[in-house]
Amino acid sequence: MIRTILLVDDDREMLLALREGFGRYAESMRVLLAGDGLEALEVLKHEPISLVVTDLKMPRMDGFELLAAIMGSYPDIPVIIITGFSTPDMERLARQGGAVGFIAKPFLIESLARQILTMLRRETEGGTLHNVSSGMFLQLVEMEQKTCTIRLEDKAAGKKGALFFVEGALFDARVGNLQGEPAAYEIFGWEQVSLSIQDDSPVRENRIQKDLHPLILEAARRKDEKKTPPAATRQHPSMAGKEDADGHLARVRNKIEQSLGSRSGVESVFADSVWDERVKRLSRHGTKLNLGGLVMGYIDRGDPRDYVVLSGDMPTVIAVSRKCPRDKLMQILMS
Amino acid sequence: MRDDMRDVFKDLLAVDGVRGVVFFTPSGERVFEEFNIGGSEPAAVSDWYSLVASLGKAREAELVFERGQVYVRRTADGVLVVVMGLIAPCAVIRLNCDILLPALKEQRSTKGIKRFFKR
Repeated sequence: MIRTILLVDDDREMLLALREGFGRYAESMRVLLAGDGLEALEVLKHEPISLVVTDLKMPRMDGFELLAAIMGSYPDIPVIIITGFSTPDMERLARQGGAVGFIAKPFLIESLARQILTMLRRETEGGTLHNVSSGMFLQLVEMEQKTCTIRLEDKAAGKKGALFFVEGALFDARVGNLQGEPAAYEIFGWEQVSLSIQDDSPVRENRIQKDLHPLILEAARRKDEKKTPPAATRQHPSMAGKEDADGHLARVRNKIEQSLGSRSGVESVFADSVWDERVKRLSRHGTKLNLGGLVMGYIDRGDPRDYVVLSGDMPTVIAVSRKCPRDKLMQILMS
Repeated sequence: MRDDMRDVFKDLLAVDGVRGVVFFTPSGERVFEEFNIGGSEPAAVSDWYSLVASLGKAREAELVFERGQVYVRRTADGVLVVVMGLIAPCAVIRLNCDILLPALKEQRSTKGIKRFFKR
């Protein structure tokens, strides 16, 4: 299993050298880069990071602040500090703050890589299970009164999360930057997961007040609800009936005209299966490029009119003249 | 060549929110690629090429995705792709492209034997 490591340093040369050095461990780890603590937090929001290596002295948000933010919001992610200004006091502060490693610069890339791999192995020290239903297994953890961190991966959805048990009680959960009960509901909604067990829990504060069983039942109920959304939002215009589609198109046109009046440059608002397919393709490419699905696009094809496409349950195309206030229109549609 | 290209794109790369710039020929060969530090690793040029291909004959496009924006500008020499965060000012990016594209054309036209002669 390839893990994702986030390297944080304002020294670009250092980052590139480390990334190159870690190239030989490509079978075990993928490397992402960030130039300071704020950039790192942005990456953490969107990427399933297994471990962070950070410098201490950085602009905007330094390593200590980043360490505190990770311990607060991503307590299962281990942090290793690398610094060119190492003192015993600094190391003590970093360890007290939750860092699992402290390395003074200069260092050998191999020794950092070894430390990273050792930390990553700890994630699975209690064992690994593939394609299991999480509910049954977690009730065993409760019965055994285990203290552990369980990392779960739903391969079908490409999502990862963590559950923190203290003496059999579920204290906290995390998926991305979601924590507590909402994160637990999300995880319990995953059907077949791979999970690994680490025999301790960095979390000591109880953020989840409910017992495991009611949580699992509530997650199942929420999942069922998601599967059967109200008829009005479920269907594509081609199936939902002409009235629904016409109503939707009229609403889009009204929204634009209310804000821009006759200066909107809108010529027509319509649904079109060729554009639907194009929107789907763009969404697929966006997902592959780590940008997520398409929300909206402005397309100039060299025709007398340009096109704005809106993604969603009912993809919509708006043909606009060249005098259309493009940025204003995009802003209105985004809102 | 790469330094010259970097010089052409440096203002664009310095705009707040710009994550990176890719420029490739109409047949999909990479001419220039640079990503600012932060965020995920640059994707393969073929992935950007496929994205642009799915736009059909568009000569310019501004695409807003869930986690970022992409500005695409097609020219006779190739395709420029600017990757941005969600709050990047796209109007500024368009303006920058209007300014840099003539310079880029000049760069590209000095390839081959012409580069040995002073203009």
